[in-house]
Amino acid sequence: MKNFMKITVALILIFASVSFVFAAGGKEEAPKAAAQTVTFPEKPISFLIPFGAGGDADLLGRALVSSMDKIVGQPVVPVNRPGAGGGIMYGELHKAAPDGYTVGWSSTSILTTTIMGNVPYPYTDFDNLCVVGYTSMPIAVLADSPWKTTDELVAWAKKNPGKLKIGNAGTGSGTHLTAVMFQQATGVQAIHVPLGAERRIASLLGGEVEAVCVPLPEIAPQVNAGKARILGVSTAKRDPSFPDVPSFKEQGYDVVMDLFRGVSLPKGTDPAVVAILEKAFKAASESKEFQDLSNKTGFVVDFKGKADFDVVLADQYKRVYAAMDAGGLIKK
Amino acid sequence: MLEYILASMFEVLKWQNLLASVLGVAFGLFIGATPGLTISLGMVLLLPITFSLDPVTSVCLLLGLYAAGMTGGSFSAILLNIPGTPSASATAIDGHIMAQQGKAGQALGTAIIASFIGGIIGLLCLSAISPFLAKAALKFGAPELFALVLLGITLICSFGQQSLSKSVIAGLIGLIIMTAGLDSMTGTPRFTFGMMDLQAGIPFLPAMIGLFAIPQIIAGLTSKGSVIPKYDKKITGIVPKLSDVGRRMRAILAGSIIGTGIGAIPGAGGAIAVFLAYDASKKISKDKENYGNGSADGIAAPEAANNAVGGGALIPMLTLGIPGDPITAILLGSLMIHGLIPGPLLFETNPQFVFSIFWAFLIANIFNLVVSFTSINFWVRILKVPQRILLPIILVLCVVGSYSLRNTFFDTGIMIFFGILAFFMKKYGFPVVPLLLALILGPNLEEHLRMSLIISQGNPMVFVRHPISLFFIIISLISLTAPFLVPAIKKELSKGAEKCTPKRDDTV
Repeated sequence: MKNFMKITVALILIFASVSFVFAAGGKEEAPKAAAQTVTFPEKPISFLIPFGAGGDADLLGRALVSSMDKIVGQPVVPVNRPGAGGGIMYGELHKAAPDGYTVGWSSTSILTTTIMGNVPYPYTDFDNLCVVGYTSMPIAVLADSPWKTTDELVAWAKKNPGKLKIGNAGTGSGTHLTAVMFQQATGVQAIHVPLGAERRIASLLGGEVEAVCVPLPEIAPQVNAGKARILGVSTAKRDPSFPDVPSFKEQGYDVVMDLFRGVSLPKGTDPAVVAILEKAFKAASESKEFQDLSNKTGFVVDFKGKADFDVVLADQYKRVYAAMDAGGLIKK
Repeated sequence: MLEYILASMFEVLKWQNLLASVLGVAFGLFIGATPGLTISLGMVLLLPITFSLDPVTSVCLLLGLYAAGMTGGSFSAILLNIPGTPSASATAIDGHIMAQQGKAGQALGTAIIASFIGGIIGLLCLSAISPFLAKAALKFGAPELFALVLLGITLICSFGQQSLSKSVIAGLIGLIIMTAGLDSMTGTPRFTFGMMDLQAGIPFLPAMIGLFAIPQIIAGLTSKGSVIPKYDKKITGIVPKLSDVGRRMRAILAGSIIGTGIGAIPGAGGAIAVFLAYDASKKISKDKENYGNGSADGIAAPEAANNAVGGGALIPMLTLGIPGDPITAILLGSLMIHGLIPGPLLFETNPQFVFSIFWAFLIANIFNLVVSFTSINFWVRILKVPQRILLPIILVLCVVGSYSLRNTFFDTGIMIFFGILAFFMKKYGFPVVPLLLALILGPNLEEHLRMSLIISQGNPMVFVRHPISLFFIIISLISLTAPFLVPAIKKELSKGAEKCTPKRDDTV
């Protein structure tokens, strides 16, 4: 009895320490990156994740940095800093020293939180390092609903003004903005319901809303099971996992929005450090771990470096700003 | 069907899966019992390990952690009056009082047995009637959820022992505090005073740690006596007798049913289940007076409920692919990495794996029972540590625990703020539990109310038109008015009775 107890305690301790080491990504030395003019990194890098543990952003971010220690020779440690739609993380990243040891796993939220004004700096106040890829945001309806195409839904909504309710992940989120763009492009009246993370699929299945706009991977299992139907995707091109589903652009509606994920740094980071990190994240995005997870979660890997990221951001900024303005989300 | 059931059973009974389950249980007890380490945090710590494991092994590991974390949470609630997890907060009410009465062993034993039975009942519902329950749970739209949370909020009145008005005041303070942060419907900052950190709202866990632990530490510093229950006696009565379990069964069953049902509703949250279970078991109990004074039923009901929530929360995850709470969301994430996407198709494409989950859940509950009972001696021994050593350790745990949830000292500040608030509340006779209840349920109450009104386009009749919502609203009204009406009615009746039978001795 006593021995058993001791063993139990010992197991708990061993287990706890092992898992902490694993979680910290602590591994032995690895070959250093090719010699540069600056020696970077010389210590572990913090990788701030703007959303909670277990979500899409968290899983993808952790998979991305899991191979970084082999690439840069130092562990890159994921740190969850959730809250305020990503705002807490951007606030912290803005305060951090621009030495490359604090990097942020940014997303479309870098535009939404800054445009809304909850993060009191423009997105250009960060050194935006690279975009790693994107998830498309479809608008989906129940499979047994009468609407087979976007046109049919639009026609119904125009005949029944004020009836169409579109659920989204939260006010000011990418899914909300996509729905606002949809409303503008199609000219229908819609009620936007900020269902939140836990209830958005349940609410569609329960018939509380007519349609939902959610990241593609969340609705995919329902579509594959024949419970839901996607009317269109928000990306300009079709999504590789649903090649039969047309984009809104193809259907003649100007709805182009993707939930991108990338890496941002505090403004004023040494260009040499920026170059090292850009190369490292490119290599990490090509790692098998990350590619595998991306395939499984419906994330489309499409790496673009700093120069291209700035172009992507400038283009998305215009669209997001217009949608937020139309949605009444900008304080004047 | 039968071949899948058997094949999955043998799969789960492989040594590596049993080992994973035991390790998950041991880690879960540790995580649950440590204030500030939550089950979801524990799961995240284990996630990287599960990537390289077989899917069944990782499910065994994670479900072991899930089941044991709920039980472990009751240990610190009973022994130290600090709930290790939010789901253990109702357990602290009677559990700690029992410990102070020198019955820590029995309190822990009751919690463990109730956890086990709750877990098994949750599992039975999961394996037997999950398609039915999932369908029913989908009927819970925004108005229904609002009415359910409203019922939870009315419990404020049943947790104040001293004075009803003080309970209501404490609850309202909690509701006001919870309005700080970004407005969940429009994203506008409210009462943030320009502080970025406040935009995320008042973090509930640090507040809970502060509310329970800090007043106790201050009391320990200022009073001569011991605030930590003494436990010098030989530990007896840990394993409850069958007759004892029989007497607890009413509370345990109530807790299990409420836990499973609420667990199955996406977005309802497990914490409301434990309070509803506590209250419901009190209402059907034969000795209501004992509640709040160290009632074993008051431990059994919420502990059965929080373990039944686990089985309940797996229902929408497995049948619909919808995670009902943050813990199942992480579980879903770990399954996705193995290419197993929970949802309506999983039953068709991989039935054996679904049965493996059932078996893993059963094994986890059995190991939880065994490991918990064998380690009780160890946990109770914590009380033998002298107070001057134990209290500083608890304080350190509070600081580290509140920091570690989001890696920010802002949360530690929140913990201290609520600690001081609770100290003064206790000093002036305001109960803390209503404040806690408001902190847990306040945001949900607001969110579901406003969401219902968005959907109904501002028409409040939506709450009356939906039958489920109407039902809960009526129950809330009864629950609110019963404390006033029932004595009044009784008085009237006894007056009438007096007229008929004048010889009745009316001493009450």
